[in-house]
Amino acid sequence: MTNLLKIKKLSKNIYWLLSFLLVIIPIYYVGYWLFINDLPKTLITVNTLPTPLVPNELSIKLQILGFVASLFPLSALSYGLISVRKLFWYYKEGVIFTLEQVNIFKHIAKALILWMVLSVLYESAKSVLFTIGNPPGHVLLTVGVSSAELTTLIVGVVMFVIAWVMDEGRALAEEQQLTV
Amino acid sequence: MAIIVNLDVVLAKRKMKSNELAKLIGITEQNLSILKTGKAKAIRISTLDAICKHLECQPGDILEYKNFE
Repeated sequence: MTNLLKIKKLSKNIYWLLSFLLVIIPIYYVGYWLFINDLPKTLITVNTLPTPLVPNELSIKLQILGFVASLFPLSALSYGLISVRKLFWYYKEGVIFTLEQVNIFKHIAKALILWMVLSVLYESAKSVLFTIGNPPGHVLLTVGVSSAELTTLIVGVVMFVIAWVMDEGRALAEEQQLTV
Repeated sequence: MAIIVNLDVVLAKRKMKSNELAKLIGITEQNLSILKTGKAKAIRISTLDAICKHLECQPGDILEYKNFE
């Protein structure tokens, strides 16, 4: 089996996995906010240390607000996933080193950085929502950047560099194709 | 581009078809078409050698430089 055939086969599997994730992740977000009051505490991660005084009892209004806030990082994540899926669609078709793919790499990098920023804001919004039932003066707004967010940011920057290198590769591939 | 590929002219003089030459020199018709239409970015010495051998010509008969400035 040639390398290209192996790439095509593996890319086909990854393409379907990404398609599955694109469906399941939004469902997870909807489910998370729909059943927030019934979920075990361990599943509700809020980047705030103080425990809410009225734990896990969010009104429908707050649930909707939480869901709306979650749409921002979800959009960035979905955009990133759609881009990666598109990239693997090209790979499964045996198309490598094209200008379109270079642009996809740039889109993925942008999506990752955007996702990181929006995730921080979303977690901050969550901290307010979870402590909004507290007595006056005890409502908290926390802004935190964890190693996960930093990793996402680094990966995003690395993707930009990869896109750059890919463009060089594309130029070489194009030259190779036009060499008789 | 200032380099003109006169492969069509030489082929006509030798009364040879493109697909015939492609087969003789061992490249695809598509690649030969890239060369004929001037889209090629580079030509291998081995390809030029094979073309000259089968068309009984010199590289200068196929490639010509014209200053358009």
